[in-house]
Amino acid sequence: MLRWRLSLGFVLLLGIFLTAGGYSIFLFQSLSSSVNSVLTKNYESIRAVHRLRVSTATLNAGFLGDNEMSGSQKVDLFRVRSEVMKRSLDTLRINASSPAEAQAVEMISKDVDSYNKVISALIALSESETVKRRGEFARRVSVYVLAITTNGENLVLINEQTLKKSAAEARAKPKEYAWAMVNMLVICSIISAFAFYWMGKSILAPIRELTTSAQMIGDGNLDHQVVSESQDELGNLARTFNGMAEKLRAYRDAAASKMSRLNQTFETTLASFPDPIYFLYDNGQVTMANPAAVNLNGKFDLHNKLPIDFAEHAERALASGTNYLPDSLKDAICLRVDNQEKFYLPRIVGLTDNTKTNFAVAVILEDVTGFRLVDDMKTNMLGTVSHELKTPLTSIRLVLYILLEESIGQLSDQQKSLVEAARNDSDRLLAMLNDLLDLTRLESSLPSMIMESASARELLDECVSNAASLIHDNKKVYLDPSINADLPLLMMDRLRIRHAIGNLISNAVKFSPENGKVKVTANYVSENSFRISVVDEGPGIPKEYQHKVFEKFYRAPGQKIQGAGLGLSIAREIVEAHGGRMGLISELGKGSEFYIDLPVPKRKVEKNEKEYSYS
Amino acid sequence: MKKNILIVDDEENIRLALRYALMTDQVEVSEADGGANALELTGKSSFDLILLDLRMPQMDGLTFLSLLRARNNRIPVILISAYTTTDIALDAIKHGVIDFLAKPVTPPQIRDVVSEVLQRHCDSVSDEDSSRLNPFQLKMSQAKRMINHLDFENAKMSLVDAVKNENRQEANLLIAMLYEIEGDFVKAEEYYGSATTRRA
Repeated sequence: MLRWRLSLGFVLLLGIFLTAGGYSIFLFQSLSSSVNSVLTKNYESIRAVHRLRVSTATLNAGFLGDNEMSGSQKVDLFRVRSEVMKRSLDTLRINASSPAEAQAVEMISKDVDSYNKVISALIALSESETVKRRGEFARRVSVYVLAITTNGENLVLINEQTLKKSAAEARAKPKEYAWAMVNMLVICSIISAFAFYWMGKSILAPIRELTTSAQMIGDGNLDHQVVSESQDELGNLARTFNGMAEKLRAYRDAAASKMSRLNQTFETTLASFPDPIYFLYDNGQVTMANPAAVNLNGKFDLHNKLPIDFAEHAERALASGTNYLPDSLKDAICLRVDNQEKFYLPRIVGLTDNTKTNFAVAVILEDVTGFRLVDDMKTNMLGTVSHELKTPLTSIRLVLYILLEESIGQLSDQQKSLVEAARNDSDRLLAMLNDLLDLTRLESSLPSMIMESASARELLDECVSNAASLIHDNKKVYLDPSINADLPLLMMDRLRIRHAIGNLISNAVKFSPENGKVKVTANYVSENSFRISVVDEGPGIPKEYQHKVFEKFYRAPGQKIQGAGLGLSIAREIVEAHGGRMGLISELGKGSEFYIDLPVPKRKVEKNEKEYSYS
Repeated sequence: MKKNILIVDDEENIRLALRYALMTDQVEVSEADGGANALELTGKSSFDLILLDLRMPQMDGLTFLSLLRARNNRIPVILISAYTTTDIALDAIKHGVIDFLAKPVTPPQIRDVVSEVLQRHCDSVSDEDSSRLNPFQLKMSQAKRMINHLDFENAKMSLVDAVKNENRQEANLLIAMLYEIEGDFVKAEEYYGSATTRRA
């Protein structure tokens, strides 16, 4: 269809060109032929007149003149000339273009006939008679010759006028033709313009619309439709285009529905999380957050920012692409929410796209307030409780002391003994409190250990001799005599390790039966690990409680011996701070062995020569 | 001449017990249940000594101290607290407070410290009083007096002299803290070191 339209356009233009060209050729031709025919006719007429005159003159000379022509020659001459004259008259008759001319021709024709009759009469005469009547005939002939000449002249004049008129006409015609051509060109131009407009409308406009549509779809406006009712190739293109857009829409809708389901799943899952979860894209702003996070941010009037305490971690993770996954409660960050301390352990995971580029991080704030509270309660309770207890204890003690000073009044002996008892117990209470505080301090100051090289032998020596003060009820504490003499130098904070071993020994003594023995042994477990064990003959610890004995405040059920339940937990922290390990081997009814494994530095020490034995 | 002592503590029982512990003919005791009250009292009358509790609910001891010192009041102060960290001690020293009583205290301990501080800040220190002190104690006393007037430079010199007499932890610790306040952490570390080795 489009081809037909294009062909039609071209054919139209071609037609216009051919018409214009043909018409101009026709005009040109008609101009030249009209001039030509006029010129030819007039010329022929003038020549015919001339021939008539020549013929009359020739005949006059032949017949009337004094010459030696024979009779037959004269007959021939007359026949030729009369023929010429007859043809000339025919020519004149044919070429007569006006009635005046025709009348003149008829007059000439009569004269010529009359002339010819005279000449014919002359020919009929005998020779002698001819000579005699020459004058008479000459007079008769001259009348007709004059008439022929006059009328011929008249005809020549008429033809000259016609010629002039034709020339004038030929001059005037081109102007007329030019005007006709101009008109024709104007009409052609109008037709061409119309044809161009029509072609533009039917071809270019649809192409332009298609281009715009392609651009719109390219820009993501898939709902755009190309309007086209035409049945041509462009219409087909538009329909194909709409078809393509529809497929794209279908694809988009399918993808969108898939995405929406995925998103729904994701959001619902996230929303059900009690812990705040944030997503930060590479501009560092929170782009998405679950309700818990939005709620948390609402408390701080934060919109798309992480609470400041976490922002630093998140920025680092975002910049470096490394995850931040702390597992120690110590890394939890405290926020004051609704006047309550909340602890959040940030877990920051980098999100990478299919080009392995880190484009975002997910920040999950695990609410560890509960865990922290339990842990803090165990740690801080020591400090806080001790201090809170100290204040009332202070006033109680001050009062008891002041009463016993008797500066505000004498006490009776009974009163005095009662107050003394109260004072002693308050002193004892204070001593216990101080013990607790010392343990707390020891624990809280673990990071600032003073590491020095110390002989294991001296250490054990000290520990065992210090233990002497613990011994009551015939219990014994002794260092295993079979101990390896080649004891290493260990890197340790002596005070603290001594405290840990002392704790094991004092526990062992506490749990030992009467006359029980506590054996302290030491040996290599491996080349780079040295074990110090404290073995008692106590009741042993049931399997199910063994893993709990190192917890703070833990006391095995049914245990009769008093204590805060802190010693082992502190001892273990000390040992672990040294890079060592603490463990327990025990069986119900067969005593317990608590051991401390300490790492041995590479260099070994020279033999210690003394032998130790305690009993 | 009677000495005026102000007890600042939120615990009524402690104030009561302290009052009885200090009660002699030589002492006149006033009480304030908090920093605000104490500031009012110190504005009205002059005291020779303040016994100040560190932990109080409305205004803690150190806040009270800074407000008191902002009024250019250089009354000697004894801080009473259940526990004292180096940071708290440093803050206190910045306000010229160098005497601490650790809870729980006994009446003799209170009386000893109170009389020592009163004596140190008494303008007419008699030769008899001075002669009772050994050279170390004398230097320490001088240093503490200087600290009360925020003259840390001379206090340090005095303390160094004291250490020459007797290399005791107390003096080393004070020098270390004075260096720390100055910002000379190397020197501070050195003296903290000597203080702890002595203790060990």
